[in-house]
Amino acid sequence: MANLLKNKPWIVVLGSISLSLLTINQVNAAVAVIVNPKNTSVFDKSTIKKIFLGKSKSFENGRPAITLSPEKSAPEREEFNRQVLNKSSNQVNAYWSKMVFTGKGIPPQEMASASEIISAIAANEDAISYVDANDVTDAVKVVATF
Amino acid sequence: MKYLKIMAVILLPISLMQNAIAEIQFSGYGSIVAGKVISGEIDPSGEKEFQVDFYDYAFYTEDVKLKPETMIALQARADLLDNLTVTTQIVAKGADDFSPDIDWLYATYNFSDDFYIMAGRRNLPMYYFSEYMEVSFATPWLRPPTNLYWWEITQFNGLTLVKNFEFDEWSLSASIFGGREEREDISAHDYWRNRGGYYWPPEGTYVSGTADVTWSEILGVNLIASNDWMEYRFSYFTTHYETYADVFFMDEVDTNGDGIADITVERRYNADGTPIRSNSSSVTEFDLAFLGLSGNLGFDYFTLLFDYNFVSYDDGYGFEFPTFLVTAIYNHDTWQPYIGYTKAAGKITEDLDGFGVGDAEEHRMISLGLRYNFHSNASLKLQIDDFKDEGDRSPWYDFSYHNDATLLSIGIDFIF
Repeated sequence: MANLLKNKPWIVVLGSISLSLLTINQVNAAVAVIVNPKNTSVFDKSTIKKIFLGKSKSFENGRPAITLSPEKSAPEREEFNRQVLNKSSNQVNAYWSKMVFTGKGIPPQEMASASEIISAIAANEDAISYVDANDVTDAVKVVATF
Repeated sequence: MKYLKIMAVILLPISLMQNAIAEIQFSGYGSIVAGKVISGEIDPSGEKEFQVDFYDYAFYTEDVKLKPETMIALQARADLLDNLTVTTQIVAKGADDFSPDIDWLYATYNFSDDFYIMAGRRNLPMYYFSEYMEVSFATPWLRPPTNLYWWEITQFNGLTLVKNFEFDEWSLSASIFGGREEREDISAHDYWRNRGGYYWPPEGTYVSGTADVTWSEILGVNLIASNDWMEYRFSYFTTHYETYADVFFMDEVDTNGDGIADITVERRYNADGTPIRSNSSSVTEFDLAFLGLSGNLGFDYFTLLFDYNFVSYDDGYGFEFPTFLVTAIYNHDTWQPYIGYTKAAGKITEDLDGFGVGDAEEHRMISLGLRYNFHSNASLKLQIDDFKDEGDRSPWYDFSYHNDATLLSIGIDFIF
C-alpha cells in the first residue's frame, strides 16, 4: 500500500483534499436549533421534526410555536431538512405545497439572514428556528445541534 | 354556482367589515405539459386516445398537444379574525379553454390549534392525492394515475371537521366530511356513452347528449396516522349518485311516401317543448360507497407510495371496482426517478335483465418517469405511461373497452 501510494502521490493529495473538504463541510454544516431563552420546553429530534412539519403547533409548555426558517437557498436549511426532517429539500418543498394548497398548514416564515432570525427569536418568546451553529449568539438558547 | 353566490353573499360583508385588518396572501401553482400518444390501438372515436383528465375530459392523441393539462391556479387567503380564515383558488385549465373557475372557496374556523372546521367548496378527499391532485409540483408524477383518478366529480360543497392528535411518536388526524356536488353538461360522459352507454331515454334510438351528475348525501371520514418515516391513510365515504342526460334522436323521415326514408331530422324536445331526458333507472341512480387504504413509506433515499381502493355501487349491476397503485421514487436531491404500477378491475355481481355477471373490465398502467428539480419552486418531469386493457372483452366489449395506448409527456410544474 505504501509503495502504491509512493508511486502515485496524486492519490495522497486528492485523498487529503477530499478528506479536508469533508471535514470543513461537517464543521460548517452544524445546525443549531434555537429558541428564546425564556422557553423552558424540552426538545428532542422528534419534537423538533413535528414542529417544523406543522404536525405539532405548540411547545411542551403549551404556548403556540412560531416557526421561522432560513431562505430556501441557505445551506443550513438543506442540512436541517436532511438531518432532522429526513427529507431532501425538494421533498420538503413538495410537502409544504401540499399543505398550503389544501389549507392544512403554513410553512415556517422565511427570514433573510441568521442575524434576522436571531433578532426575531430574541424578541419573541414563542419563536423557534435554526441557524449555522457558528452564528449563534447569547441572545438565544440552543436546544439541539445536528 | 348558486352555492358559490350564497357563500359570496355571506363572506363578502365579513371581509369588508374586517378589511382594515385582513391581510391577503397570494400563492399559486401551475403546470405546462406537452404530450403525445406514441403507440396504441385506435378507439371507437377513430384516434389513438389517452385519457388524462375525466373532470374536464382531457386526452392526448398522436398529435403533440400542449393544452390538455396546461393549467394555472391562484390561491388567495385572508385572515379575517384570529381564528377565521377564508381561502379561494381560481383555476384556469387548458382542457376548459382556460376559463377561470372558482374550484375552491371555503372558510376555516379554528376552535383550537388542533381542532377546526372548514365550510365551503373543496376537493373531495377520496384517494391519497385527491385533495391536491392538480398541484402537480406536490406529487411525484405529471398526473395522478388515471386508473384511479378518473371521476367526473372531484369537488364538493359542504363541511369538513378536523381534529389532530398526538400519540407517542405518532401524529394522528381524523376528519369527517359531508355535503353534495352537482355538475351539468359533463363532457367526459360522451366517452362512456359512445361505448355503449347507460342512459335509457324514451323509446327510439338516441344518439348523444350531455350528462348531468349529482352526488348528494356525501358523508365520510378520513383517518391519517404518521410517524417519523411512514404515513397511513384510511378513507371511507358514501354518496347517492344520480345521472341524467339530455339526449336526442335522429329520426329518419319518409317525406314523399315511397316507403324509403329520405331525410334525417334531429329531435331534441318533447311535444311540450321540454328537453328529452333519459329515464331514471337502477343504473343511473344508486348509492355508492368508497373505501381507501393508502400511505407512504419513507426510507433514506426511497419513497414507496401505495393506494388501494374499493368502490361499490348499489346499482342494478352490483358493480364493484377495486383499484390500486404502487409507486417507488428514488430521492436524489435534484433527480427523482420513479416507477409506478396501477390496476383497475370492474366486476358485475348482479344479473340485470339477463346481462349476466362476471368481470366487466380490467386494465393496468405502468408509468416510468424522471423528475428534475431544477429550482426550489419548479420541476421538470418526463414520463411514459403504458396503458393496457387486460379485460375479457366478451360479452361486455362495448361496456368495458379501453384502448391500449402509450403516452409520452413532458412538463414543468411550478409553485409561486
